[in-house]
Amino acid sequence: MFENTLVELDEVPQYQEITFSGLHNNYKKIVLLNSLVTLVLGVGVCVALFFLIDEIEKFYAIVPILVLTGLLVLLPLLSYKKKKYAFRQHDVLFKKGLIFKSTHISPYIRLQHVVIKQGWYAKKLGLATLVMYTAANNFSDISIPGLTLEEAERWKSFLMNRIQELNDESENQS
Amino acid sequence: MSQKISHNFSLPNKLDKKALFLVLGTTLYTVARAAWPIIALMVVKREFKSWYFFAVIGVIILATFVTKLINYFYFSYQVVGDELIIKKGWLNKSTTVVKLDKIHEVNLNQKFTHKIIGLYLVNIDTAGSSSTEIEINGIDFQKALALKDVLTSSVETNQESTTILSDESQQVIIEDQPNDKIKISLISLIKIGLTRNYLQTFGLLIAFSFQIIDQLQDFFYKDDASVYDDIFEASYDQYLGLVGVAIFFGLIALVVIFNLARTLLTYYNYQINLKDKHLTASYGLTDSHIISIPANKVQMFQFQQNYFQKLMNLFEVKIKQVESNENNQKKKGLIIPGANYLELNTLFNVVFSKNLSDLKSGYKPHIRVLVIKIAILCIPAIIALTILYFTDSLLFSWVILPFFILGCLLIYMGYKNEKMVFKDDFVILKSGIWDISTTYLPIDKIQKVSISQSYFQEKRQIGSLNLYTAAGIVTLYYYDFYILQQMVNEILYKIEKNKHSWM
Repeated sequence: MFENTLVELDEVPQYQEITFSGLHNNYKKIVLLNSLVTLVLGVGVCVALFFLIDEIEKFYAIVPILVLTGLLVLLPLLSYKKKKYAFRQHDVLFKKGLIFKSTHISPYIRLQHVVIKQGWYAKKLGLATLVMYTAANNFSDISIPGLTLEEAERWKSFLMNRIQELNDESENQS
Repeated sequence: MSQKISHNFSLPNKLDKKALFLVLGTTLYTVARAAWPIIALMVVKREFKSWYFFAVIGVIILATFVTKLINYFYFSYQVVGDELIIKKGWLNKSTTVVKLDKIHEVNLNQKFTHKIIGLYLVNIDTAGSSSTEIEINGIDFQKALALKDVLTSSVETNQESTTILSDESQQVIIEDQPNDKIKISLISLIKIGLTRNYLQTFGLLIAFSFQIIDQLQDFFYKDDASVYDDIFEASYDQYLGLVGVAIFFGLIALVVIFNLARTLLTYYNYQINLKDKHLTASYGLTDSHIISIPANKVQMFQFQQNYFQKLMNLFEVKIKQVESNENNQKKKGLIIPGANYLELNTLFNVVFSKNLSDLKSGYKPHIRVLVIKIAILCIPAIIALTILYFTDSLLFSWVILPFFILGCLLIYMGYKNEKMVFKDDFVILKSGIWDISTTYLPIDKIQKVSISQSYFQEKRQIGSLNLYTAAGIVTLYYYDFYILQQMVNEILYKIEKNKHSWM
């Protein structure tokens, strides 16, 4: 028999009170590399525009592109430290954002599958990204970058076990 | 499982014999669709190529016909145990096996040709990508219904796990309601047709008229002259007042009539059956559809009403299901145009075993949301001003003012209408400017939450909350951050404690 008794607010676990763990130090290198690539691309485009076009109006294009590149380069460098994650008994939490801070939370019982991804540079550093998919459409996956491959694999097997357990419990209930 | 004796699905079943006509029809249709530019060109230019051209078309028709014929003869379907098995193909054989509990919607559709022959097209939607969608083209009505029953009957077994029955609400449920069938009369359909979807139709009409104007331009005007010049000149000279007003009202009348016709065509003879936790709707004048949705697969319940509809006590109900990832143009779900409050409540009751809650107590977004939205509104205003400045027509800048005021008014109306209620395992969001829609999102259907707060919102402690479901995202924008945090905690707690499956 299912019961749904009154819940006091104190009983409900508070997500704000958890201590989150940060990403691996080497993740900084990946962010740096990405920023570097963006910088090279942006500056490259600007230089090309500077030499290819003769009119003075070219600065209307060059200046915004430079500013945009600057932002795209600097923001990740500043904000990567804000990326933090935590695994609770029933859900996974991922925090990010420098100016727009957001916390994404998904209960294990709603996860569809878990995937480990690795880019070439991450592979060299021994890092991996853990991606958790839910059934919701867009932007609904939680991906935690900057874990060591071993960590990612251990978390993955933990999640798989946990999902199985919870689904079994859910089925037994009915 | 209640398989009827007359329809045995455990053996491989073939399509109906009459479906051969369908094969013929679709062949002609596809060839005509592929070849019409060529034929049109020939008719226009009045130069008929020699006979071999027609021979080629004939061969193409024959070839498509034969391939479709082969597909038809080698198509079979059967239900074995709890699996639906579809076999296709002559040389490339393919077998599709689907577990019955993975099927979440079985629809019977009739296109115009189907209607003439009296056959149905059965669409079977499964959880997962759109590539696993199954079509059985050409079954007669009785058999299609029987098949649908077989396919959807396995759902009942795990029904109890997803519909939450708390003690108090159990008493409220009207168990044996005699009117488990809702019929939308022609009159209410006309009423709703006259009042719904103004903006959408208006957009359609505008796109349509632009196309017509472009065609006219191609036909009658040389490159340097534009049809728009003529229109401008004509309206400038003398008729501006009278013709302008006439066009304005004509457009409104056109939108309304177009809307009415469209609504009547699609939703004619709308009936919805509410039998043992299934919603089965049937409707359509030229194309008919029979859509069946098990109540536990409903992800979101939405109804909307504008001012006119409020006067007439009519609602437009949208029951949202899982959207498939790839083809978003084919929205899944059920629209019920024109239900009154009683019927709305019955529907809600069937789906969630609860009654609609009253929305007296609720939260409103922080008043600062107005400031932000008006600031966003300033951007197009400033752009318009700069354009006017550079074209030396600042004299006309007063034109922007009424639009700006109108925008502000709309924003304020939107703010006034918005309201969020969090109770009874539902997140209820009421919003809208003209069409005010109320969304009921059951907590158990939430897949992920994300709560966010920007640097600028920190001082006043406001923030936003996104609730991700398989049927779309519900966003609570600019609410009190403390309340949102409590909501997140409670939502997670309920999902994790109840462990109900979401489908």
